[in-house]
Amino acid sequence: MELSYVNASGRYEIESSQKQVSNNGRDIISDLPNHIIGSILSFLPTKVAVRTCVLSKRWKNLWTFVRELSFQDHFHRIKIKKMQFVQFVYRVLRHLDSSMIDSFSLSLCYNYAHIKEWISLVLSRKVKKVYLEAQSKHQYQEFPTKKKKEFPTNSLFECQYLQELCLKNFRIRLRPFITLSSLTVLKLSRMSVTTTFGVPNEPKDLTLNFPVLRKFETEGWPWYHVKSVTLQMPLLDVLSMDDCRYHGPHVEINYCVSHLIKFNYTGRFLSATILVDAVDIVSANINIMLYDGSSNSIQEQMVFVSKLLSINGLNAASLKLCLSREQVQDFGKTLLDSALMPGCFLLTLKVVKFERFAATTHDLNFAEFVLKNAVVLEKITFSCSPPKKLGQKKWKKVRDNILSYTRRFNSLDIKLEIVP
Amino acid sequence: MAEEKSQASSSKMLTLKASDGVLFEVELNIAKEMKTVQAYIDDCEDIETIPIPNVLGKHLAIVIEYIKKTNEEYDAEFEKQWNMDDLQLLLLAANYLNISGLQECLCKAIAKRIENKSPEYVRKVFNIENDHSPEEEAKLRKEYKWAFEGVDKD
Repeated sequence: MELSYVNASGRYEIESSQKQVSNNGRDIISDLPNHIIGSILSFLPTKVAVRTCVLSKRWKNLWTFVRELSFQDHFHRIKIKKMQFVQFVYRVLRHLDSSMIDSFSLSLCYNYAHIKEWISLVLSRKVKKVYLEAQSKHQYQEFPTKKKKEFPTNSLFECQYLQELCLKNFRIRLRPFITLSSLTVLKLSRMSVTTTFGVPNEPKDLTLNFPVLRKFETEGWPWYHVKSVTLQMPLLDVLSMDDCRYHGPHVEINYCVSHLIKFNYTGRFLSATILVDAVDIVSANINIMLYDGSSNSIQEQMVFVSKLLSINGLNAASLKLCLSREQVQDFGKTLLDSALMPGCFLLTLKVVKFERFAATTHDLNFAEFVLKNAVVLEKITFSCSPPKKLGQKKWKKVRDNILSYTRRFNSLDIKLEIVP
Repeated sequence: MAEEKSQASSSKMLTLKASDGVLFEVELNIAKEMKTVQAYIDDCEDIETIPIPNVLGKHLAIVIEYIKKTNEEYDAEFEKQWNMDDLQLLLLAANYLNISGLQECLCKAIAKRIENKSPEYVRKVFNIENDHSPEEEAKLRKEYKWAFEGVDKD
């Protein structure tokens, strides 16, 4: 029996039901329209897409139909290889058939000066998403600002059709007023952002205006040598500040984010004031590491914590504090008791988890304090992390102790979990 | 009145006829995901059976199933079931029927299977005949030298 059909190029094909070779040995893929092959190749790193040029004559230029570009260099010892990467990027950018590129992703190890020309070439193709990274040999270490590479162009911050921008590991100088009217996602990872103009030693105010931004993420503390930063992001849904550490001269960071739904802060105590002007934040995670070695007093650190918790529109927050062993009692009490804390913390505290509970006097005192005073407490958990496991007998004693606090001090139904 | 009409049309059934004669009865709103079919309906309103001359029954069945079930989870598992030949024929079908979600899913699946494979492997998998002269091929490899380093062993 013979089956007949018309393929995508309009050719009439006959397929004999007897042959069982893979698709009868036909080369189907080469008959697909150019833009479809371009779509397939767009899912590959550009390096791999370009390799298809040797498959056959038909494939010589099919890679030029990609709409997503990604280039990733590696650390080399041989000088000539470093230049080969640069040559490759230029060749690709100049040979592209697509008049529009959707995304451009570049991870560099050397030759940062070429970024300027490459950005210019992709901006001329109306690129919508740009991801740029300067690789560091030590992946998890943040470079001090002076060691970061200077980003050689400001054109990205002037591009009004740019929708997504992620930058990592650069120093960059911006004008004091920046507006990006199409930007929906911005991520600044291990960046050092400062302002241009003005006397070199005088920090300036920086205003960033992103009217349609939905997501703003920072990793590390991006603001370097600024007096203040104001971010106008009226449609922002998600604000995420990760691994914040800063101990320079005091700065004020002002987020105007009336639409904010989700807030995340992870980091240490900062010598900065963070103001978040929101209305109705549905979920918030605040993870702060406080430590004794700091030259700032408990009071100052508590002010910082209380300001974070006083954010406008913060409804329910999950607050995680990492305290050293000795700090627990003092910090803990100050935290819960102090007039600094908004909305009387003790009246709203519902769930408390003690991790790495070692049943020291400090720990137990604080536990008692909480159980005695947290009026609406629903659940309290104590978990231990090995190897600090206590012996059976001692655990029983601790357990009894804790249970005795609950019996004495409250009548509500509290879930008490002790996970040794 | 407009509401009643749309309610009626969403439960209206349509017949699609594959190239090997297999018939499929689908709901109108499923068929409409195929933009080619939608265009057909727009042109001739009262049509009941639409011929799909480029797609085998086997593949049309898979396409219809995809449209019904597509979501993030389904898409992630979808491509794993098919061999390279079927993926290509499904892509041809999705392209003809103009279903963008399925096209993207299939393009991504095909790309995944050739990532970091040598040109020789890729030619074999797709049955591509190498009509480059050795000089031409050498020239291309030199021109894009950086791209030809670090290829997987097959």
